[in-house]
Amino acid sequence: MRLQPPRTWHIIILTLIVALGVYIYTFAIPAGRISLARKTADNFHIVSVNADGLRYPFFGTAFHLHYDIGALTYDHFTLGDYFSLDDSPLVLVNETGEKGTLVIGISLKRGQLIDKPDGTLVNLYFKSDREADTVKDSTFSFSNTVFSTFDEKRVDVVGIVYQ
Amino acid sequence: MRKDRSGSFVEIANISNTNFTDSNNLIPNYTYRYQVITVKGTLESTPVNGQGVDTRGIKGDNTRSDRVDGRDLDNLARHYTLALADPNFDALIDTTYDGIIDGSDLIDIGANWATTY
Repeated sequence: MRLQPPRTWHIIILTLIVALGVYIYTFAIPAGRISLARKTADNFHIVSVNADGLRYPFFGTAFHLHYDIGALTYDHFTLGDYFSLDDSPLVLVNETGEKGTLVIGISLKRGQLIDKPDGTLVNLYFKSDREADTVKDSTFSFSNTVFSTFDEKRVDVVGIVYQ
Repeated sequence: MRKDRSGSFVEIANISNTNFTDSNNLIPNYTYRYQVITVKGTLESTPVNGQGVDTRGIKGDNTRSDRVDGRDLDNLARHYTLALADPNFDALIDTTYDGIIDGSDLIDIGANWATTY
């Protein structure tokens, strides 16, 4: 059997397959996820904000986290294990004037970059005097999400899923 | 007119000569969108679009000290979560020009931390 030279339609199909692959990698597959994990301990309802499968080095993230004020009251935060002691990132967490929205910002300083796909960014501690089921069923949602990496300057990454 | 934080063009000057310098709370290295409309009597031209960037200064230097440092961080923290409608909203701190002082502005401080102009 002799190999035939590629025909035009072979090249077109191959090009389409490659283009589809690039498209899926770039747009359909998330560049990473920021998600929430919840648990109750020591009279606190603890919400951990976790990074999962980040495809870009971390420089900073910012988001608003909306929570159910009927069930929870924000108390304080601790930095997660994604950061080492040497990182000492800039962190601001505060509620808006109207309760129920936490405005959260975490940023490394120029020259720092963390190339690690997974870990807990921050733990948020809430108090509640409600029944455990009410707390468990309360909902959280993200808005104003930003994920930044750094390449000579801040570069905001599109495609990080916050859920 | 200049596009404001809500995306609308707002008149910033009404002048009779052909030169104008915008120096109204500009964020360094942010690309501002402008429209120029000429007026004669009751007649108005169609708007001409343009853009401009102030390359002086450093983004994140919200205290205008020519250095991004803890004072800028302190200033951001004092105004954190304030939105455009708030009377204490400080336009120089909202370096992302999105109408709210939040974590995204913090990233601008981190990205230029300890740099000087």
